[in-house]
Amino acid sequence: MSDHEVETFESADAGASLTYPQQAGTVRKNGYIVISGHPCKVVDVSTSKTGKHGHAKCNFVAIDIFTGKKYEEMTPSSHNVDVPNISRKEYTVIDITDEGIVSMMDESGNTRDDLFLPTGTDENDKLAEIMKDHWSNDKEMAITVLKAMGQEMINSVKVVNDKAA
Amino acid sequence: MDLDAAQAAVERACEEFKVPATAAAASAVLLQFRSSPGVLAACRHILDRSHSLDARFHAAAALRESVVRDWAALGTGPEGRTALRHYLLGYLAAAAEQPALQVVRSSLISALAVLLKRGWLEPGEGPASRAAFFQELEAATSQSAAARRVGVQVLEALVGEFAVSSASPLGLPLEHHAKCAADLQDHYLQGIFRHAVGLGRAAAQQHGDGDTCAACLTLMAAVLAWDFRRSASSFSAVAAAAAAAAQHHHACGGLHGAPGAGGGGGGGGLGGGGGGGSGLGLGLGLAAPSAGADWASLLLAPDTLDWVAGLLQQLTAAAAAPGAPAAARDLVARARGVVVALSNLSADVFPREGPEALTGPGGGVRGGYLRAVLRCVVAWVAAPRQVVAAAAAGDELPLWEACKALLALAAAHPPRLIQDAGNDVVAAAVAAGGLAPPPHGAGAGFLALLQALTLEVIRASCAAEAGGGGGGGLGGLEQWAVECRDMLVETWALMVQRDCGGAGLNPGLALSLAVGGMGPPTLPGLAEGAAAVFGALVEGALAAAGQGAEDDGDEDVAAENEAAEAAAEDARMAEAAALARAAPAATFPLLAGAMAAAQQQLLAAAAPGGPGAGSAPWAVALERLCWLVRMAAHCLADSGAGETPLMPLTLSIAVEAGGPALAAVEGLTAALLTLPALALQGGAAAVLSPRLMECVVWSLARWSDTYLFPEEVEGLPAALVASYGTRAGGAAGGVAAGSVAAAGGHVGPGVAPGQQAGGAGAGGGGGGGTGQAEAVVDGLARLAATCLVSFPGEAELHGMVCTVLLPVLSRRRPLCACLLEASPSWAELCGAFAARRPQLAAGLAPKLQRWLSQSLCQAACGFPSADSPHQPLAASPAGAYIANLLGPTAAEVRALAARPDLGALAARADVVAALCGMLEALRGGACRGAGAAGAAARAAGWALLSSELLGPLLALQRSAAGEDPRVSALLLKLAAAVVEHHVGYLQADQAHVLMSWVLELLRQYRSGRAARVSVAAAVAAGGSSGTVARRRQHPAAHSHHKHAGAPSNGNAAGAAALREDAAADAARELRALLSLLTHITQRDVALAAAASDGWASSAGSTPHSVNMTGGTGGVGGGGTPRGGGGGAGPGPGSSAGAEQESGVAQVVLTGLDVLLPLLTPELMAAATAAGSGDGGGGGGGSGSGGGPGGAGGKLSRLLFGLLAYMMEVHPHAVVALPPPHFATLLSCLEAGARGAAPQQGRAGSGAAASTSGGIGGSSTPVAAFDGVVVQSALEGLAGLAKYHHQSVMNGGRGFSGQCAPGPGPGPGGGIGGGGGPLGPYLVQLLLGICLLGDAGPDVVEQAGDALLPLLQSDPAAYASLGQALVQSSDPRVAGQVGAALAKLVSPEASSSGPAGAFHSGAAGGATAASDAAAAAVAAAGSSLGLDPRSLDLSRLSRRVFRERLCGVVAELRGLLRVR
Repeated sequence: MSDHEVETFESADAGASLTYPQQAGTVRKNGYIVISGHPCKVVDVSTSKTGKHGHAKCNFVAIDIFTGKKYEEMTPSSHNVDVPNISRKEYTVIDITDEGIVSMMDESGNTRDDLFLPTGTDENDKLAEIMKDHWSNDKEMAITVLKAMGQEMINSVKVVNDKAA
Repeated sequence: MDLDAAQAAVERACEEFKVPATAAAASAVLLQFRSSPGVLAACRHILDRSHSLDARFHAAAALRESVVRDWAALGTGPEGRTALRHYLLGYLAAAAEQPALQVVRSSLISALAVLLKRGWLEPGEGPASRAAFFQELEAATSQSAAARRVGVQVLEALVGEFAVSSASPLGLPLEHHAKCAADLQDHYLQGIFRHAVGLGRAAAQQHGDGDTCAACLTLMAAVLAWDFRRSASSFSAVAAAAAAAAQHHHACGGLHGAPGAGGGGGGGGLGGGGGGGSGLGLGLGLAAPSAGADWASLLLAPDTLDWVAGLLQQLTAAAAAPGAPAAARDLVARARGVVVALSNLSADVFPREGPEALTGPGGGVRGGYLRAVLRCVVAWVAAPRQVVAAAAAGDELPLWEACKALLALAAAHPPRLIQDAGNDVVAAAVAAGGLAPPPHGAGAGFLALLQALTLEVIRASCAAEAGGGGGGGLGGLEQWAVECRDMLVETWALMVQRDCGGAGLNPGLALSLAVGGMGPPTLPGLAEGAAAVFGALVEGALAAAGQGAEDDGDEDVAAENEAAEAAAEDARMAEAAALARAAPAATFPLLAGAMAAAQQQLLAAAAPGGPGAGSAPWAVALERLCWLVRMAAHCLADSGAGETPLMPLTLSIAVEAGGPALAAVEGLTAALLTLPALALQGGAAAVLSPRLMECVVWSLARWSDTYLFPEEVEGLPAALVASYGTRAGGAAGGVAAGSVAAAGGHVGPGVAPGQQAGGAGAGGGGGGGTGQAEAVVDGLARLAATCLVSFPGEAELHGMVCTVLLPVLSRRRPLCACLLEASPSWAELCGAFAARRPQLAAGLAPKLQRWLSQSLCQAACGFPSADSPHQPLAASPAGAYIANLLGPTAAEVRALAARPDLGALAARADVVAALCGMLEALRGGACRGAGAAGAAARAAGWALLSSELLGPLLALQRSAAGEDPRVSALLLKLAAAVVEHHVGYLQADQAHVLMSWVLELLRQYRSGRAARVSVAAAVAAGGSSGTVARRRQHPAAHSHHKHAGAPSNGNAAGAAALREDAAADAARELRALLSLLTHITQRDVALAAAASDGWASSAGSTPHSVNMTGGTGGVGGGGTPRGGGGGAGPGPGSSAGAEQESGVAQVVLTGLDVLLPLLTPELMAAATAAGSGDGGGGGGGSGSGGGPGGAGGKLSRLLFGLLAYMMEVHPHAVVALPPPHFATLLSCLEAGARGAAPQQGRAGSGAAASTSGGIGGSSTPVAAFDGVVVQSALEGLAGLAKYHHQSVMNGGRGFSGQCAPGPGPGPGGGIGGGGGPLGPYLVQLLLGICLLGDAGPDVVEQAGDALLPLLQSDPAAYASLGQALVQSSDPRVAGQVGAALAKLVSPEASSSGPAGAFHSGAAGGATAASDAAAAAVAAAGSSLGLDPRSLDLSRLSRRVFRERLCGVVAELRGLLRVR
C-alpha cells in the first residue's frame, strides 16, 4: 500500500509514544487530551471566537482519568494538542495482600505484582472495597488495568467464575 | 343554622384573620363556613345585614361556591333559583353606587353568571326564560348610571363564563359548556355587543361618564375576543371555499364536544377562519377573531366605531398631559384596544362588493370600515417624529398599537384599498388642521406617512440595538423599537407582496391566488416607499455592523439562543429582500455599491500602510460585508427548500422587461461574485475572517442553487442563462445532454486507471473553456477547497462548505458535468480527498468527511449515463471515478483490519479517529453519494464494498468495536447505509451475500453487546452507588464496562456528563441498529416487486402462516432462559435455522432478539417522553434525563415504525416471541399509543378507572405529543389484532398464548388485571385512548382499526367493559353513555332499547337507566358475537366502523369528561 498508510498506523507496541498530536478542532467530547501533563477525558468542548472575526478557539473541560481532577484549557482550534495513547489490559487476580498490593496474571501467564488497589477518589475506594470483598469471598476476578502516559491503574473488576453463587 | 350566630362567627373570623396569630384558625373557620351545607341563607343574611366588608366578601364567595355545589337543593321556581337571581340583581343594583363594595360586587356578578350558565340548559329553561333574564337585567340596572355600569359588568362576566376557554368548572360534562357557548353566540352575543355600543355611545355623549365608557369598551373587547365557532347557518356564499375548510375544522372540534353543538372544548380549529385573506401567516401571532359574515352589519356599521374615535380624539390630548388622572389613561388604552381588535377582523366578515363600489369615493362598506379604523390609527402616529420620541421617553403604547393595527390591516386588505382610505383620512386630517402638512414634500398621502413613520422607527431601533449592545441593560427597555420595526417592515412586505397586477381592484377570491406577488408593485408610490425603507434598513444595518464589530465580548449572551436568533435574522432579511425586490432598479445598485465600498474599506484596512488585520476598521468592514453578502443572496434568490429553486417571480418579471432591472440584477450578481475572487487571492486567509467566509459560502450556495446551470431555465432571463447557465464550449443548446455526451466521449478513454478522475483531459475536450459559467464553477470548487485547507480548525466554516455549498454543486447533472470536465480545481479536490490528505482527513470531523465524500461521489452523476447495460461496470467513467475516490480509503481499512496487532492498534485514539473518518467517508461515498449518482456509480460503490470490505469490516467489529463505542455505532450505521442504498438493487445472489453479512454482523454485535452494560443500567446507575448497583443488576455482564466503568470518578459534574454521554452513545447505537433493521425490511418490497419466492409475505393469516408460528419460533426464543435480562447468547435453534436461509424475517428477528433485551422500560420512557427533542426532559423518576433525550425522538420513531411493520407483516413471529420479550414489546407499544393521551379530566377518568378495572390507569406522564409514534404504535396494535382475529377464525390460537403485561414497573404501570388475557386488556387500552384522551380524529380512526378485529374476536370483553363504564359514569348521563356504547357495535339496536333507557333516565331513575343501558350493551355485544358477518375486516366495513367510532367517541367524550 502507499507509504502514507505506514505512517498512519505504526506499530503499537512498547516503542509507541505516550501521546500523539491532534488538531484541537477535531477533539470531540468523550475524547482524550493531555492537559498540563495529565491524561484527561474531555467532558465538554465548546468553540468560541476572539471577537466576531477572529479564529476559532476550543475550550476544553476535561477530567483526569486517574485522579478525577478537573482541568480546563483553551487552544486555537487549528493548533495541535497532545492526545494520550490509552491502553487497557485484562488480568486475572492472583492475590491481594494486606498492604493492598494486587498480584495478577495476564492471558499468556505472565504475572506482575506492582500495582496497588485503586485509591484516591470515592469511586476508586469503592472499587477497592469491592475487590477486597470479592477476594475475601473467594471469587475469581478479572480486572482491567488502564495505562496512559506511563501511569497504570486498576480500572474495573468483574467476577469471572462465581464460585460462591 | 342560626343566621345571626353564623354572621357573628364570620365577622369574628374576619377580624381574627387580620391578626397573624389567629389567622390560621380564622381561615379554617371561614373555609368551614364556605363548605357548610345550606350556607345560602346565611350568606344572604350576612350580605344584607353585616357591616363588615370582609364578612360580606366571604359571604359572596361562599354564595358563588354554593350555587354550583347545592344546585339541586336550590330548587326551581320563584322560591329557588329565580328568587336567588332576583335577589342578586337587586342587591347589585342597590349596591352599585358604593365604591367600597367593588370586591363584593364582582364576586356576586360572577355568582350570577355561574347561576345563569348552570341553569341555561335545564329542562324548564328555554328562550323565553332567558329573554326574561335579559329583560330583568335591563330593568334592574336602568335606574342609574352606576347600575347600568353594573349591568355591563354582568354581561362581561357572562361572556367570560360562557366562553369555553375561560369557563369555570361546574362539574358538568364538556357538552354542557359547548352547548351554552354555541347558544350564547347564536342568539345573544350580537345583542350584547349592540348593547355595549349603544350604552357606550350614550355615555360618551354625556361627558364625564368615563367609567361607563370603560366598562362598555371592556365588554366590547371581550366580545371581540370571543372564540367564534360558526354554525352552519352563518356561512354565506361569499366564503364558500373557507366554509369547506372551516367545516372540516368544525368536525374536528366536534369531537371534543357534542355533535351539532357547534364544536366543543379545546379543539382550536380556527385555522380556516381567515378565509380568502389569510394565506399569509402573521409573524407576530395576531389571531383574527373570525366572526362570520352575519356580524358584518354590526361590526362594520359606522356607529360602532365613531364614538370610540370621538372619545379617543377628546381624551388623547388630555390623557397625555402630565398629571392626567389614571382613569383617563386607562380609558384611552381600552379604547385603543378596541380599535386594534376591530382592525383585526378577518376578511370574511366583509360583504362582497364589486370593484366599482370599492374604488368609488367612500369605498363601499370595506372602504368605510378602513377609513374609520385608519382615522383612529393615523391620529396616533400623525407626527412620526414626536410619536417615536414619546415612545423613547417611555410612552410607547400608541406607536405599538398603531403598528399592530397597521400590520393586521395590511394582512387582511388589499393595499390599494388601504391606500385610498388612508389618503382620504390623511387629507381630512390635514384639512382639519389635526395633522401638519408633511414637510417631506413629495408625498403627502398615507404611504408617505407610513414611510416617514417606518424610517423614524428604524432609526430608533438602530439606536436601541446599539444601546442594547453597548450598555447591556438597555436592551430590554428598548425592545419596543425593534418589535415595532419588525411589524412595520412586515406591513410593507405584505403590501408589496399583495399589490400585484390589478388584484387590488378585485378583493374577492382572486385575491388569495394572487398572494405571493405576480410582479412589481403597481400602486404608485409603493415601490418607491419600499425602496426607501430598504435603503434605511441597509443604512441601519451598516451602522449597527460598525458598532457591533467593536464590541466583541458578549458572545455568551448570543450563544444561548443562537439558532433562534439566526432564524429570526433570516426571516427579517427575507422580508427586507421582499422590499428590495419591489424596486430592484433602485435597491440592487445600492446594495452592490455598499458591497464595493465595504470591500474597499477592507482592502484599505489590510493594506500595508493601513491599520492591518485585527484593527477596528478591518472588523467593521468585515461585519458589513457579512451582512451585505447575506442580504444580496436573500435578494437574488429564495431558499428553494424542498423544491426546484427558481428565480423569484417578482424579480423575474421585472427583469423580463429588460432595462435597469436587468442591469441591477447582473450588477448585484457580479458584486457577489467578486468576493470569492478576493478570497482566492494569495494570503487572503490572513485578511478574511472565517465568519465572512461562512457568509460568502452560504450566499454563493444560495445563489448557485438558483442561477448556476439551473434545472429549469424557464423563469430566467436570457442574459443570465447565457452567463451562468451555459457552457461556453457547448453548442447553442447549452446544457443539453448532447454536449455532455460529446464531452463524455473524451472523458471515457481519458481516465486511465490510476489517473485522477475528471482529469484535465476533459477540459480540452469541453471546448474553449472561456465561458464565464465555467470560470465561476471552477472558482466555486476552488473556494470550497480553499476554505477546507486554508482555514484549519474552523469547524463551522468547514461545516458550511461540506453541508451547504458542496451538496448544491453536486446536485444537478449539468453542473456536475461542468465540474468534472472543466474544473481543474474540482479534480484537485478529488485527488486530495482520495489521497486522504491530512487537512481533509484528520483535520475534518468524521461527519464532515462523510458529507465531503458524499458530495464528491455524487458528482459522478455528471457522467453520461451508460446507455449500454452490457458495458462492464468498472469501465464506465462513473465507476472509475468512484473507485478512484474511495479505493485508497477502502484499501487502508482493509490493511488495518488485516493487521495482526489490530486489538492493540484499536486501543489507540489516533487510529480510532482515523478509522472513524474512513468509515464515515465510505458511508457517505459508497452508499449515499454513489446511490444518488446513478446506476453505474451505485454498482461501483457496491463493488467496492462487496469485493473486499465485508470481511474486514467484520474483523473490525470483532476487535475495534469492543474498544470504542463510536466505532461500533459507526459500523452499524455503515451497515444500515449499505442496506439502505443497495439492497433494493441487488441480484438474488448478491442480496444473499449482503444478508448473510448483516446476520453475521448482528450475531457478533449481540455477543459483543452482551458483554457491555445495557443502556438502562447506565442510565439507572445515575445514582451515587452506580458501580455497585450496576453489578448487582447485571451479574452476567462480564466485560469492559466501557461506558460507566471509565474514570468517571471524582468530579461529580464531570462524571454525570460522562454518564449522560454514555447513555446518549448507547441510544445512538440502538438507533443505528434500528435503522439497519428498518432498511432491511425494504428487501421485502424489492422481493415483492421481483415476485421472488424467497420470502412469502403473509400479511393475511393463512394456515400456512399459522404453521410458521411454530417454525420461526426457534429464532425468537429457542427456549433459552433469558429472564435475567443480560441478553445471553443466541438460542440453539436460531443459529441452526439461520444458517439455512438469510431472509428478511430471519435478519430482523435476530435483530429484534438483540434489541428487545435492551429495550428497558426506562429507555422507552425516556425515548417516548423526549419525543419532541426536549433534551433535559427525560423520565424524571429514573434519573435518566438527557442521555437519550436528543436522540429520543428519532429513536422512538424508528422503533415504532419497525415494530408496526413487524406486527403487520410478520405477526406470527412476533407472537411467538418468549413471553418476557413479548411483554416488553407490548408495553412499548402501549406507551407509544398513549403518547397522545395525557390523562386529563381526572375526575371522570378516575371514576371510570376505579370501577372498570383501570381504563385510565395511570400511564407515564408523557410530555410530548409525537403523532408519528402514536400512529405507528396503533398500526402495530392493529396488525396484532388483525392477526389474532384471522388466526382464531382459522382455528389457530392467535395471541392467546401471551398474557397482558402485569402491573409491574413498566411504562404502562398500574394496569389493572395484569397477567390476564390479552384481548380484553387491549380493548380496554384502546377505548381508554379514544375516550379519555385528547387524541384527534385520525388517532381515533387508527385505534378503530385495531379495535374492530378485537371486538369481533372477543365481544365479551367489550360488553363487560361497557357495563363498567356505564355504571361508573355520571348518573345524569349514564343512559346516553349506554346508548352511545351500544351504537358502536350495532347502530340499529340503539334505536330501541337504549332509547327507552334514556327516557327513563331523564325521568330521574338513574340506577334503572344505567342498568337498562348496561343490559342493552350486553345484548348488543352478544348479538355482535353471534353474528360475525355484521362487520368483517374488509376495507368497506373498516371505514364504516371508523366513522361510527368517531361519532361515538365525540358523543362519549362530551358525556364522560367533566369540567
